[in-house]
Amino acid sequence: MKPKNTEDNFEKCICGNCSLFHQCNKDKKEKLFCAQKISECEMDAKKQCICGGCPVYNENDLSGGYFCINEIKE
Amino acid sequence: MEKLKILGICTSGRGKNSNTYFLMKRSFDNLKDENIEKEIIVASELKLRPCDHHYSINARMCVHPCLITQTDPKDEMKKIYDGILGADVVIFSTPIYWGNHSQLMQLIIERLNSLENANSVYHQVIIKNKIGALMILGHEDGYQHVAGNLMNFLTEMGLIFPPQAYGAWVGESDENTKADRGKIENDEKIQEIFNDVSQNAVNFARVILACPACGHKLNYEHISKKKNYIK
Repeated sequence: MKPKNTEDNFEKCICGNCSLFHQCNKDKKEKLFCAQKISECEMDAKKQCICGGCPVYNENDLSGGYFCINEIKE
Repeated sequence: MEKLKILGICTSGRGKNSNTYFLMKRSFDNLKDENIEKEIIVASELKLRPCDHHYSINARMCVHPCLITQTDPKDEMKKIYDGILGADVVIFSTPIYWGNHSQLMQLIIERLNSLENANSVYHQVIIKNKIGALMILGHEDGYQHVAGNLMNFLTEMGLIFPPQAYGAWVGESDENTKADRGKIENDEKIQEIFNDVSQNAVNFARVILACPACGHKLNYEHISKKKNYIK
């Protein structure tokens, strides 16, 4: 299930520590892709995704990853 | 009679020039049954990215289709996934290098972890009622070790191995690898052994297809692994 787009989840989100995360994401104030939408920036999928290490991921029983590229359907 | 699909996956870095491919191709060519569809995937001709080991971040990240397959359109592992999922018999062939299977074989094993993981994490049986076999070729020794290693993973993934499910050829303990092809080509016993590997696997697949409940039951789960999974 898609996580809730809450302030609490935004705080827990670890997207900012990910190797895919870069300046464009910061400029657009993007984060918590699993609860929001995929990134508008160009993302390098050859870098290592860390979604599975995030509390939001585990609390919501998510599977897969690269949610900055792969949208979670409602 | 239902048409049966037999898939060979040749994992020699030398591709179609390899003795490994030669043995597999000859064995497949000698299967004369008209109700068999045959295909050999030459792994060295595909663009295969090494596993990113997402499993080690969180087992639930290692899903099928694999995250690399989902995000990298240039990666061609999908051909192997689809090939295996569409086949009744899957035969892997590998050379032996320093006592182990080829690096391509290892890359494929690590990428296939997503199929195995579907069972241990999600209790989904993706590979069921499919027969496995092996063709192993080396210059000095090591084929039993390689067979053991490969069966360890491939049975965990879900393949069923019939008795005597592998054929092997090993050359002498010297550096003269140039003579190997001639020896392989002219050795009728070796031809017979490799023909038998394919034919036995096909025969066993026919039994399983005739009686699916004799193989994995439809709701088979990897119960022994359930307890290892912590959310």
